[in-house]
Amino acid sequence: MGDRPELRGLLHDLQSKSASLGSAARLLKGDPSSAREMLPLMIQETKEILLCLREYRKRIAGDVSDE
Amino acid sequence: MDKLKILIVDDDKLAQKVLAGHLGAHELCFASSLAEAKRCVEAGRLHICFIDLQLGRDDDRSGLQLIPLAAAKGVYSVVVSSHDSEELVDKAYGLGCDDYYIKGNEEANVRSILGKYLQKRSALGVDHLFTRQFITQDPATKAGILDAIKYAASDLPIIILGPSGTGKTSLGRLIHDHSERKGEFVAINCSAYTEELLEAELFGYKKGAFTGAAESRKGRLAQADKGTLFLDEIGTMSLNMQTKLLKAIEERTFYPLGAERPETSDFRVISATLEDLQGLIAQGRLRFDFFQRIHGLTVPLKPLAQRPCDILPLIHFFAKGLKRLSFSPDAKSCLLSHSWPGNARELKRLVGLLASGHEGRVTREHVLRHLTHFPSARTPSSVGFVTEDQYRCALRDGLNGSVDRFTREIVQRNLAENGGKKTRTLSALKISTRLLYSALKPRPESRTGRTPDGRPA
Repeated sequence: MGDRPELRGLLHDLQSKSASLGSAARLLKGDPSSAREMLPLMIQETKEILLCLREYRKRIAGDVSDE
Repeated sequence: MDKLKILIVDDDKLAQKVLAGHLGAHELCFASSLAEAKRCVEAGRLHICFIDLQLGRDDDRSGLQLIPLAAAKGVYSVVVSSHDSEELVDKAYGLGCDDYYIKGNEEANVRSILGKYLQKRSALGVDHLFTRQFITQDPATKAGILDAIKYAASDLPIIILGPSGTGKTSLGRLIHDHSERKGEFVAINCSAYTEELLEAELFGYKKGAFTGAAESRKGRLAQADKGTLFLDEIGTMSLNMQTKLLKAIEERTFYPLGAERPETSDFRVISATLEDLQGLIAQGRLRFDFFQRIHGLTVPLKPLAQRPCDILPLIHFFAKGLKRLSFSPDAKSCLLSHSWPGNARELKRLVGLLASGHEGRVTREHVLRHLTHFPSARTPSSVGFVTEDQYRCALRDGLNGSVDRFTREIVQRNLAENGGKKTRTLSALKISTRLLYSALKPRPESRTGRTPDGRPA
């Protein structure tokens, strides 16, 4: 990966978004009343994580199909 | 705690929301780009700034540029990033950030960061702390208290070591006040109860749990929910009680007496004792696993006689609201040379007595009149080295027995003052290792000064 800085950037993005999603889930567990505000953002974050993963797969295998 | 003005800089809306969830009690503002963040910092009046380094997928850690700007404005800056390379962490600290944590660890970090910020801010008002909240001019005592306050915001257990009347409960309350815990400070003196009563006090009970339990009652553990449980004289707690409390501390759940369902309580433990806890473990009077649960930071408080610089400031503090007192030079010298076996509590009582008397001008005679009630007083008028109590003890227990008791008390007190460090006690008292361990060994109560097998104690 040393010669693929774009992959490093993608993984960093993935790591950052997953961390936020994990923190949000813990927050939601402690305060279920925040679901109305949190869930749309969490769903959006999950979509972005999926995009990241697809982008990563595309770059390493050239495969864009969604299995 | 004051409402702080906090800026959250992150391009990720969910990350902003997560931090906001942990900082709900404060005034928050948000920025998603560097330009927006710069404008907020420039506008001023910020206390803390949480900064994500990468502001956008193709951004090259532009958040770093915000750190020196925040530092110049006196804003406490905290980097929140998923970058964790040592090089980057060094760079951020080099630019002047105050804290750095890896994204996703908000629960573990946010509260302690707020505590550290308050600590830093209050360091400027440290004089206020030592002239209003815990009166001391002694450098070692000040250092110990500042250390304790540094850990106030964490959940780390704290043990305060010191003789009676040195301010252990006041310090416990001070630590609680500097923590972020919203619950109550609940203090209990473990030595004031029998085992059964202590269990009922700590865990509470349900109606009909035992004879006399006409109503259900909430225990101290439940009262201390989201607050602090202060266990005074922890060394006097029975092994059985330690086992029960250990489980409650470990799991934060417990069964009130007569209850079928467990209750939960999120309490932080601060313990206090005048005894040497390591010595109690060696004697089998303290469970090692219990000690592990209550032992985090140890804060020693010296007896008042070892910090004479605090005597006059404490007198002024205790005399507030009472009659103004003026001490003659020989009265001051008498106060400074007294041994203060009751420590600050004894001094407070003396001030109360002096202020409620007729004299505004206090002479040596006035002081001595009240100090003579204490048998171990070491005033200039005291005669000889042995106090009346020690002499009576020798007559009652025999000379060997009283010398042995004298030795043990001195060794144990010095060990407690040294935070259990045996090497320090060996050096301070100039004694052999053998004598040290002999003094720490449990002795059966003996009135003859001899052990049960007839050897001199």
